[in-house]
Amino acid sequence: MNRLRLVGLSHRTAPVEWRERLAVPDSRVPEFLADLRLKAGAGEAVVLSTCNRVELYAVTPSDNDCECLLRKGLLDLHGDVALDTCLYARDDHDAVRHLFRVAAGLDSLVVGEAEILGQVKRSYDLARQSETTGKLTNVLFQRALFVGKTVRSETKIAEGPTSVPSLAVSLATRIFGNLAECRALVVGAGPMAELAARALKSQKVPHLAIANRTLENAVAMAQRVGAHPTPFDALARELVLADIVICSTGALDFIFRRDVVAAALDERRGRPLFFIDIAVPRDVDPAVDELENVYLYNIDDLEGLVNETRVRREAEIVQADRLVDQKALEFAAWFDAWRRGTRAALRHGHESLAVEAEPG
Amino acid sequence: MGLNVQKIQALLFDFGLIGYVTAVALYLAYVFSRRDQHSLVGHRILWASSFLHAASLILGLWIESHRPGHLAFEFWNSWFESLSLFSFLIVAVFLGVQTRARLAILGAFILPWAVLLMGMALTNAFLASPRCPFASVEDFLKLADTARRLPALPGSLWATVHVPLLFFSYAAFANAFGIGLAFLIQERQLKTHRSTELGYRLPSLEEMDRLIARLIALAFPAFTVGLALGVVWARSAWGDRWATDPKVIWSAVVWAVYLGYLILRYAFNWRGRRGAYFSLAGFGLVLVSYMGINYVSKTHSYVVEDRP
Repeated sequence: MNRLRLVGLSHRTAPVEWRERLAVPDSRVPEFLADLRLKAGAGEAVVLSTCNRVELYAVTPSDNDCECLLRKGLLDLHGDVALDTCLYARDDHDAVRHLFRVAAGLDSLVVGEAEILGQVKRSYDLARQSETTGKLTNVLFQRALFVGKTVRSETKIAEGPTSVPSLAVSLATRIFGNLAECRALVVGAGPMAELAARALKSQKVPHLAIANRTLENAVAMAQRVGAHPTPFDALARELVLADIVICSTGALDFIFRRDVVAAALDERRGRPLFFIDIAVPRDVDPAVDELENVYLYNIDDLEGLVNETRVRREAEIVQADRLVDQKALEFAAWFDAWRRGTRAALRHGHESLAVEAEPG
Repeated sequence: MGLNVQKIQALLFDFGLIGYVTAVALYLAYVFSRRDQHSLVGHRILWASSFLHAASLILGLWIESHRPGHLAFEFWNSWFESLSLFSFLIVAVFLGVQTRARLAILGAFILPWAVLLMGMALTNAFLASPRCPFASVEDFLKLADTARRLPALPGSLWATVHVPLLFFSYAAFANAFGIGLAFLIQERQLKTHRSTELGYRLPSLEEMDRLIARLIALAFPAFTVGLALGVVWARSAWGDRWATDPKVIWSAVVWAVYLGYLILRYAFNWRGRRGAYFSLAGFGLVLVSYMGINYVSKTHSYVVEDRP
């Protein structure tokens, strides 16, 4: 009888130095899977390799001592026996449940993060291109993607921004709505400023001005991210035009004082102004926050909100786990029928798309 | 003829009300569940029940207009019918807002007021003829039918247009009020750096600010024309007494408040929180005018108040 086996390691069991040594780059996946098929006698195999986990899903005949071979397959790639201690193994229904949890983002460092779903899809696509998937892995991985989406939409596990740049974008959206109609100003040309500038650029902010004490640095960064360099002494004028202002300079004193901002507001015709001050020491005078139609967030405010989101998401884990368990149970029924060679249907939620298990 | 048509009219009202209650429950559930399914189903039920409600209102108008000896419709001169019209128009304006901006979450802030008014209409019918609540609507309509034959107001076509125009503007003000509430919640959360899930899901400040301004700008001309028609008609009907009527004086205050809002918003860029406060205050005055002043004003108190 065929069995589904999982061997892997993740951020929960291994430090990053070990994970990166076992990682299978996309380009090596076909070779790796073909090799594994040969050595471990795996009929079907998929490898999920991200910066947080390396997991190998394989379908093998039950009489083989496959786990050992699979472990070996994974380790052979890099040849380090000491890594063996951080590997975990799951069989059949436990492996299914594990994959569903992974796809739902329940096993991620940041609970509910969306990237993992794309990575699961990518690893499945790679295995399909390498022709190492079969009936079970096809149904299993498509199901995992479906479960990942379902859990995210039916619980609040993926709700709210979990990083400072994404939070900044989400707050800006709550103030202005469509960011494609906004103008942004980035003050400072350090790496943090660049990260923020890119986040805004990805939200289709049409005009992005970059100001820096050393104009050359502003020009260089403006070229990299596709923005407009602005001389530092033109800041007061820029404040009238910009809607979102991101500050991250190394200045020891405030760059935007209350009176400067108040003067700019008079010319802004009531349009709100959003300051994101990620500099330490701060660039924007906290008294600016007292002005009407001004929203000022410093790094502590932002990190506090990011943490709140994480806490909120973690509170949803129990419910999400319950949903995963239910979906895993549904899959188990199909899985057992498939192994027995009888017919069974797997329903896709509201859609009546049924995947039937055929004798095989 | 009257009996059967009134039964149908009452049934349409009852089903419309049941539909509204269901839709509001779904819109409120949507706030917490964030399942699009809830708002979508709620939206459809709202459309369907607004049609039933509209049919009920049109049927009432039709009965009125076919009554011998009545030159003009006097359909709106009872609490029940005016409340019913008011809530229908709130729903209609909300559906209009929805076609322009897909902001389902605002339903939770606007629609409860429509249901509240419908509930008051039902209570009004029930108080006048206490049977089971839904049956009482039919009883009430029959009662109103006979009571209305008493000389109430000197009817004219102007007076008939005066009422729906004003209720349309009231309904738009009610929508602006609901959006103003949502605006203040969003604004407060952004300003104090505290965010709940609701904050992440409410529309943006700019969108809501624009919606409030547009609703008021749209309603204000209707409000002005409605008031002007009332004044013209009142002058011919009551002579000089019209200017001392409490309702007229109060309405002038409401008119001035909304005019003030529009001037400050468009000429002096009064945006954001202060604009939202205006939308709240304005509608508060409207409610005082509608619910309170009508008892003081002899010319605007509704007939069919007491059991004959």
